[in-house]
Amino acid sequence: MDKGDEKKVVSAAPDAVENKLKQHTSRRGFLKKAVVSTVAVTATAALAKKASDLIVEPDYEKAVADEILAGDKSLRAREYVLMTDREKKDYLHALLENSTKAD
Amino acid sequence: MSKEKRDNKGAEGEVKDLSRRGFLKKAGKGAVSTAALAGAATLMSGSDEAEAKATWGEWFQTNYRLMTEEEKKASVSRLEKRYSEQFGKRVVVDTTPPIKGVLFGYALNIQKCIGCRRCVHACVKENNQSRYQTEIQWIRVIAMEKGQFYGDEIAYQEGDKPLKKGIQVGANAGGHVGLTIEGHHYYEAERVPEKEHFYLPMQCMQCEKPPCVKVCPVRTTYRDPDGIVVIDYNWCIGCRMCISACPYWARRFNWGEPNLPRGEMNPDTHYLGNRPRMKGVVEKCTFCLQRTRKGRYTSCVEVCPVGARKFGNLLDPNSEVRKILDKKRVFRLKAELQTYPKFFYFVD
Repeated sequence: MDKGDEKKVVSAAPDAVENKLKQHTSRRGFLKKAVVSTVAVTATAALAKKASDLIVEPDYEKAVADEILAGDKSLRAREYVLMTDREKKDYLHALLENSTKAD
Repeated sequence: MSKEKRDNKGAEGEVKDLSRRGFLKKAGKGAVSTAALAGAATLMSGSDEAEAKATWGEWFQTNYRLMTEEEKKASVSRLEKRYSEQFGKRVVVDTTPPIKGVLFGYALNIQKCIGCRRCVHACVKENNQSRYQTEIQWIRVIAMEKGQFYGDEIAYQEGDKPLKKGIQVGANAGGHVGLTIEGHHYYEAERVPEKEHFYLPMQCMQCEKPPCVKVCPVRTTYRDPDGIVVIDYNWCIGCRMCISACPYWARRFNWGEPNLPRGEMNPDTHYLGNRPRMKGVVEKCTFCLQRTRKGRYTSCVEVCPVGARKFGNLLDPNSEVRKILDKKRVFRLKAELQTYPKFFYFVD
């Protein structure tokens, strides 16, 4: 590289920076960034999910059993109350009346 | 292109190539592109066959109740195609609406139930629940010690004084009788019924005022006019609020991808009932609406060897369930919560 070329390089640098700045503030630049960010976020999320699925082996059986056993526990120590004739009548009336109402 | 411009470009490229910032930027872009490609590949491939076959239409369809007839048809045909491919048989996804003038009710004779759990297994088979590893059961049968509950000790209201033992009569008949019932869900008896035991089968009570419906943030679960509380599985976000709200522990969550072998899949399905579910959604008993909306009995009623289970239309005074309500001694579970369950227990 001779001296003349060196001069040109130095003088060209501010233009390049200006171009870069323009690109950053232009609509195209913004859209590009938005697309890249969206793809990056999606990709990272997908990868993270895949990785966590592979690393953590969930115990589904235990999860289901925990739920059921909690229910059984709650049903313990309960009292069951027979309905009187009056209660049955009122209850049926309430059911029939409610059935005609919209949800 | 002028010489000057070319030189400018060359100069810019040189600056980029040489600077640390430029290098890091390039490296970053490269990493993001690789991650993007890998991520896209992951999403496209899906974690299993079912997920891979989920179409865009299914992702973006609306709540079942808000669908037009055309949208329903399109959705059903999509599902039928997908299930038929997945299970290697012709699968029908029915959309039969509730029958007018019908309000389903259920009654169970706890004196007759022998705890054989045939209902549990028939239900699993009929409703395409997940098998193996995690078998999801909508019905559970709790074994209880007989002496503590009934037999010769059934309490009747004698005048104004309720007996202080056994079942109390009338919600406001007196104070708590202090009855303690110890239940066991996982009983492994060689023969049933076990001595001195009785059995309390539990499933969705199809409440008239269902707490699960009230808490659903996306209104994916709702009560149909025939009294059945249904779930639009495609609209469910898996928040599990309904599970917390249900006082009867009747709802089940698909923690993993349901495991339903091809050969065991029941191809007669209903959109709101027994069609195959997916990971992350809630399910529960629907009174076999794929059957009952066509005038058939539920599978648990059909399979019960002792006829302990009765099912019918509460609006019909001549139905079996109405007659039981009129004539038998009936009780509900957790009556104090005012959820108005339509599942009754009775004794002769």
